[in-house]
This record gives sequence, structure tokens and C-alpha cells, in this order.
Amino acid sequence: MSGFATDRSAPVLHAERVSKWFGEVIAVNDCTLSLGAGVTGLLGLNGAGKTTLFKLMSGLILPSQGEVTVRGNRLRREVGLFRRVGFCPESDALFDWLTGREFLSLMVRLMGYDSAEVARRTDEALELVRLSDAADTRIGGYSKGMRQKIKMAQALAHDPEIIFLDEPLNGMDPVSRREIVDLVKRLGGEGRCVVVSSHILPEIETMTRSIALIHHGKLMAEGDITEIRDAIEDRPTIVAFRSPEPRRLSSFLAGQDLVVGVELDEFGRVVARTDHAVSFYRELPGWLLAEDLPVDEFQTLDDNLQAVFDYLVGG
Amino acid sequence: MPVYERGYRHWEDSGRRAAPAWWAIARRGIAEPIKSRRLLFLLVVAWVPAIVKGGILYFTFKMGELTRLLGGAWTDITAPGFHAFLKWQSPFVLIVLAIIGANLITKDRRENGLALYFSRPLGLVDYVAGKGAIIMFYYFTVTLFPIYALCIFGYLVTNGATGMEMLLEIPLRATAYCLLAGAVYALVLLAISAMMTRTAFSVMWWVLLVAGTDGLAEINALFDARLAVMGFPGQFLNAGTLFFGASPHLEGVTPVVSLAVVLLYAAVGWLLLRHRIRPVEVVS
Amino acid sequence: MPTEDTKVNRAAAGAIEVADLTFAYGVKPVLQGVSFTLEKRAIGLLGPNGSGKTTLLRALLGHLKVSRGSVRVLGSDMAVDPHGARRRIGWMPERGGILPAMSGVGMVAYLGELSGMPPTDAIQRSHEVLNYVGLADERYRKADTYSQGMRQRLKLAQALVHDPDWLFLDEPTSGLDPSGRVSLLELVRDLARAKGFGVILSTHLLADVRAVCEEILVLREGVLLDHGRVQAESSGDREAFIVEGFGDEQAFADRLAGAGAQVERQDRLWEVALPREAGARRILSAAADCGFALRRLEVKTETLEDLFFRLLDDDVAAAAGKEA
Repeated sequence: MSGFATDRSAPVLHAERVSKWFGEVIAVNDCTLSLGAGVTGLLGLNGAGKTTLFKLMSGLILPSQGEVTVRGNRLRREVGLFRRVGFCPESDALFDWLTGREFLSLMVRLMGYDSAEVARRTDEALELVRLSDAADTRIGGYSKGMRQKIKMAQALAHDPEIIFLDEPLNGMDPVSRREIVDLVKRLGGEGRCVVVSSHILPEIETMTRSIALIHHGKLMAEGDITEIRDAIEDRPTIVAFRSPEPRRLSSFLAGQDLVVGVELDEFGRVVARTDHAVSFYRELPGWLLAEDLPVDEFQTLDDNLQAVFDYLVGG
Repeated sequence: MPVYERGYRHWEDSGRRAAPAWWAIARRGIAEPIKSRRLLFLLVVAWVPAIVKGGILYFTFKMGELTRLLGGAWTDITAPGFHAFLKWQSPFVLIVLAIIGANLITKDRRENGLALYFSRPLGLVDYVAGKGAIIMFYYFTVTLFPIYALCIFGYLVTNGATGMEMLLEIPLRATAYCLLAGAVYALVLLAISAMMTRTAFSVMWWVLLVAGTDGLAEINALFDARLAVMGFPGQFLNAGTLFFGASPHLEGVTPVVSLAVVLLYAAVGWLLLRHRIRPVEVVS
Repeated sequence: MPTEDTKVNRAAAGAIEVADLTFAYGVKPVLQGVSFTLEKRAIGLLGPNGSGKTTLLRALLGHLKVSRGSVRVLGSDMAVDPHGARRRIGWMPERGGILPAMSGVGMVAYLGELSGMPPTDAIQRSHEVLNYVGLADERYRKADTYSQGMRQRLKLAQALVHDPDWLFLDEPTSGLDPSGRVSLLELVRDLARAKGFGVILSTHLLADVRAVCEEILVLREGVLLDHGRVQAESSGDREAFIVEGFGDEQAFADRLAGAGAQVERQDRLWEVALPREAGARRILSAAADCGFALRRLEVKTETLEDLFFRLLDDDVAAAAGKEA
């Protein structure tokens, strides 16, 4: 596979002020988004516009307004650009009577390669998704995980630079899940632009820290999860401590100006809230040492994707 | 985080009596269709023959002559006469049962509802009995209950002149027959319902079984009277002659043979139900 | 020392006991000699496709004719008398699991009656339970008009209406969006931890198990690989910590090295190994000395994923060893 994105920071895929409406309903509302090499997670509730944005960026549908470009070239203009894009859809409509290999060869052939090339790429793609053993069984007999894998294989076989994965881990068992997560990270590492959409936030977190969140058709947040978290100012940061002397620790923390509130949670942890996270983190080691407060461990509870999602979208 | 009312309280058993599972199923299934105006209308229409017969009886008696020779079956108040009544009700049976019964199991299968049923303390017998009771109830509504009403009416109108025959004997005969017929209809219809996932197909197969085989049987009987055995409803009526002491309904087929065929239908229906109703859909 | 009597009493009180459970579809073995005992806690049931999870749950519900072994739930032998135990089990199936054309409250009340509740109790409980799962506003609507999130909660409600002792949940968060998933898991955790239910959670998603369960059962090809706590503790005289922070990274790294630590970095996370007793303190000193801010300091334990895959790998290796 050739190396991509010599300049890692240059955007590969760019959506400029795209909107899409269906009658009165506006699914995507004036979104501008730039994606470069690596893996990006696309998140949002059902009906928030996530799927529509996905389809817009992969060229499956035309925007009502605005445009999508791949390295500066308008996506729908040049048919050849589709060669550079791989799409793994969520839907499960496959040709059950074909074997995995037959189906994949068919898909690859549609890209216009000659027979030798088709065979080679098919084998490689099957190897990539670890489906070589089951390649000659009919798809009708595949488990859910295997069906997902064959869909991924057809998205990757033509060595695309940009890859869209819509709920790729749906229904997969833990073993296949790990294989695919590793594959996705590897693809991102090779310099490709991989966009993953999923409902299951902990899974996105295993693949990337870079996300784009869409809500009510608008782009609500974009970038690294921790940076986004830090940018949310109206929520105090929550830090939980496990300590052999929880009372001493609680009273000490409660007495600090930086700390807004302290409580004990159901697990027996001391949970402190602060509006000035950065200063808090900086002062913390000094405090603990000076006051000789024994602490087994501590962690920030809400700089994960679920917390960020809830803060921004939450019920 | 979204916060719901954390108000889960454990159930304090009121100690009131709980109904057996089959009855809970039956009660729900019987009460529900009645809400439909169309069905009610259909049921009323199904009672028209009974009302007409009652009216004729009344006027016949008023004329002073309780003669059985007048007007044939309409005035016949002996047991065979009621067998004939059942014959008239056949179309209503076909339609009412199609409406009530065709989707009883179909709708439970459609969204894996059977898994919910069978995680409860009930077995296949309870389930089938409950659903079957629904079908039997509505079957009785167009057959047995009109007969009861006619018998009581006839007894009262004739001031008891008809004697025990009308008050006791005929209702007993009718009950015996309707229990058998109702049960077998239920088993067969439920079996059809259990094999389909779309109501339309259930109805279609039921209609084919009842009306279709009936038509075929009549045509074939023209060539060889014994071929009448292929008609589904015909076997019931023919077997029914045993209950009502009527003359055989079908030429080429003895009532006893028909009875055997009816029981065979029941067995097949039950076997199909046992095969098709699984607590968990088999997923590969 | 627990005597036989007390063990039996405790077991009968709330437990599930499976002994040498063996089942095959024709020639193909699906469960092989599975044995375990569960008290009323939250237990995750994990395994790859085809591991026999669903079959095991069917056996626990008494739907299976087992060729060998026994299943006892709440004191009842499920092969002999499944009905008694089913009154006290709530089952949430993965696919479907609603009765269309019934209203939410109607469906739950009906199923409550089928579980042996008097009709008036069933209706009252139905309203209560739908309120608890957050479907109070939708309860009069027909169940087949519900969205996926609502359906999952409806299925949970029907599993709760008769106030069972155990809940068997099969992929409860399937098809839910992130908020729906979190709220459902919260409900389940509340039921398991605070309301005294026993919960068996069968799922593909390790994240769900981590959020709710304290114990896991791991199945692979019909064999029980492990039955244990969710997080294994680290052992040995050296302990590893996961550290995350920001500031002068070079200075921090130097000070850690000076304190005798072995450091491995992966993106934002630092893995720091130190002697057990000294560990956390030395990291705090190193940070305080150079003004490095710390967001996180955690003891590295084997995560659920690690445990799961280690078990599978061990099993594969053992099988290969046997064949060799």
C-alpha cells in the first residue's frame, strides 16, 4: 500500500457550508468540516443528521447547498474520485448466495481492474480483515461479525485514501471487534482519512481521540476529546479519589478555594468538583504531599467521550 | 446524566387470587375483538337465521299447529333440524373465525413475542388452551349460543309442549358437537396461524382450507361420491350427524369415517403447533 | 465453616446452580460440562459467537432438554419444574420482544398476569414499572409505535412487572444511541446494586459489562473458561501506574527516572512502574518538583478486555498443546 498524506496536517476531505434539506426538514445545516489523515469519529443522536452528513461527505448524495471536496476537487464532479473513497455501509443487504470471495471479486471488478489485479486485491483484502478462511463459504452462512468484515473488505480492496465506516462494529463479538479496531487504527496510521460513525462511544474511544459531533443538523464540536472537554466551561471538572483516609481528604479539599464541592460517591470515592481544572491539576501533587494525604489513585471522571457527549447533547 | 425517578418499589402481593395463565390469555383475547364495530355487526347478522327460525316457530305455534311437515327445516324443532341450522351457519363460522383466529399466533410470532410468553410460568398447553378458548368462544357465539337461545325460546313459546327434548336433549347434543368441532377448528386455525408471520397469509390458507376444499370436494363428488372426504368443513357436518341423529350429510362418506378424519385434523394441528411454537427462535 | 445445611439454604434462597451442564444439537456439542454457582449479583456473560451463551440462557429458563447435568434456579430443578422459578425470573430477549397492537401499559399488565399476578395488581404494577423505566408519557401508545430506545425500556419493564429475583438480559443496549445506552445501563445498575436484583447480562459489549457487573462468566465453544471478578488485581512487588498530565514532560520524565521508575509512554498516557509501597508518592513528588500537572493517577490492573483475551488465548494455546 502506498503512503498517503505526506503532509499530515493538510485536509484530505473538506465540506464547505454544506446543507441538506428534505422538504421542510433540514437534516444538515450549514456544516463546515475538514478532515485530514487519521481516524475521526462522527457522533450524534439518531436523527441528528449524522447519517446524512456521512452520505454527503462520501458523495452518496448531493448537498442542497455547499460543496464537498477531496483535496480541492469537487467530489461529485470527477467520477474518478470515487476510486479514492471506500464506503462500508450500515445496511446489511448482501448477496447471500455468493461466497465471500465471489462477492468481493465482483465489487472489486466494478472498479475496473483486470482479472489478475482483481484476484490479487481480493486476496489481500480478505487477509486484511482476517476472513481468508471463510472466504469460500456462502455469505448466507456468515455470522454477523463476518458480514461486517466482508463489507469492510469491499470498502478497502481498492486501496482508498478516504474510508467511511458506518457502524462497523455492529453486532460483532469481542474477538472480531478487536481485530477491526486494530485494523482501523492501522489504516489511520498509514495516512488515510478514516471516518467512523458509531453509537457506542467507548468503541470510538478505542479507535481515536478525534471526533466531530453533530446535533440538530449542526456541527457542535470538533477536535480532540480532551480539548473539547476543557473548552466546556459551564461544567465543573469532576475528579474522583480513592484513599484510605477519605474523611481527611474530603475536609482538606473542601477547604480549598479552587474546589467548588466535595462528596462521597456510592463506591466510597472522594469526588471533588472544580471550575479551574488546570490550576487544580497543577496544585494537586503539592497539596497531597504537603498534607501527607495518602491517595491510592485518582482520575478525572468526565474527560471521556461519554461525558463530553452528555454535556453537549445530554438529556 | 439523565435522571429518572428512582422510585422502584418491590411488589407487595395483595394476596388476591391470580387466574390460571390460559384464562388470562383467553379473557384478554375474548374481550379485545368485541371493541370492533364491524365484528359486532357481523355477529348480529350471524344471529339472523336464528331469529328468523325463532320467529317462524312463534307464528307456527300461534297458528295452532305445531306441524313438522310445514316448511321443512325452518320449522323442524327436532335434533336433525338443529343440525341443519348449523349447516346454515357455516359461512359465518368461516368468516368470524378468520377474523378472530387467523392472526392469534401470527402477531405473537411477528416480533418474537413468544419469547415473552414462554419466559412466564406457562407451557405450550396453557398457551394453546388460552388461544383456543378465544376461538371456541366466538365459534360458540355463532353456533351454540343461538341454539341455546332458540331452545329456551321454543320451550317457553310452546309452554313446554316440546318437552325435555328441546330444553335438555338438544342443548346437550349441540354442546357435545360444538365442543368437539370448536376445539378442532381451533387447533387447525391456530396451527395455520403459527406457521405464518403475516396475517394475510393465515387468512388465505384458512379460506382455502375451508371454502377451497369444500368447492373441490363438491366437484369431485360428482365423479366419485367418496371423494367428498377431501372437503374440510364437510367432515365436521357429516360427523355431526352422529350427534344429532340426522341422516348422513355426505353420500359417499360414512359419518364415522368423517369423525375419524376430524380427529386426524386435530392431531395434525396439535403436532404442527408443537413443532412451530418455540420459546426462542432458532438463530444460527 | 458453612455446613451443608447453610449452603443449601443460601443456595435455595437466591441462587442459580449449574452442574455439569451438557447439551448438543444432534452431533454438535453446544455446552460441555458447564458448572457454576451464582448469587444475586450482577454477572456478565461473555463469549465469542457460537460460544453457547444463548443456549445457556435457554437452559436457565428451562427451555432446554439437557443430556447431562442439572440446572437449579432458586431451588427449582428447571428440567423438572420450570414454572416455579419462572415466576421469579424476568427475561429481556434480544430481538423483538413486544406484543404489537397492545398499548405499553396493556402489554406489561398482561404479561404480569401471565406471571401469576392478580389482574388488579398487574395493572397497578404496570403503571409503576413503566414510570420507573421512564415510559410514563408513552404508556398508552401502542407498543409497535415505540422507537428502539423505548422498546428496550418496555422490554425491561415487562421483565420487572412481577418483581422477580433475577433478570436475564440479552443484549439490552442493542440499537440504542449513546444517551439511551447510558440510561438503560444506569437503570440496570440501580436494579442490581441498589434494589437487590440478581442480573445476568449477556452481551458482546465489554463496555456494558464493565459499567454494570461485578462478576463475569466467559464461555468459548461451550466450555466455561472463567468465572471471576471483573477486575483482576495486580500482583508482585512492583506495581504499574497509569499517569496522565501536562507540563514540562522532559523534567517529569527525568525525575521519574531518578526515582527508580520505569516509564513507557503511549500517546497521552504514561505507564510508570515502581516498587509497590513507594509508588504513588514518588510520582506525586516528581510532579510537584517540576510543576507537572496531573489529571490522572491510576493503578494499572488487568482490564476486562485484557482478561477476556488472555482467557481466550490461554484456551487456544491449551488446545494446541493438547493436539501437539
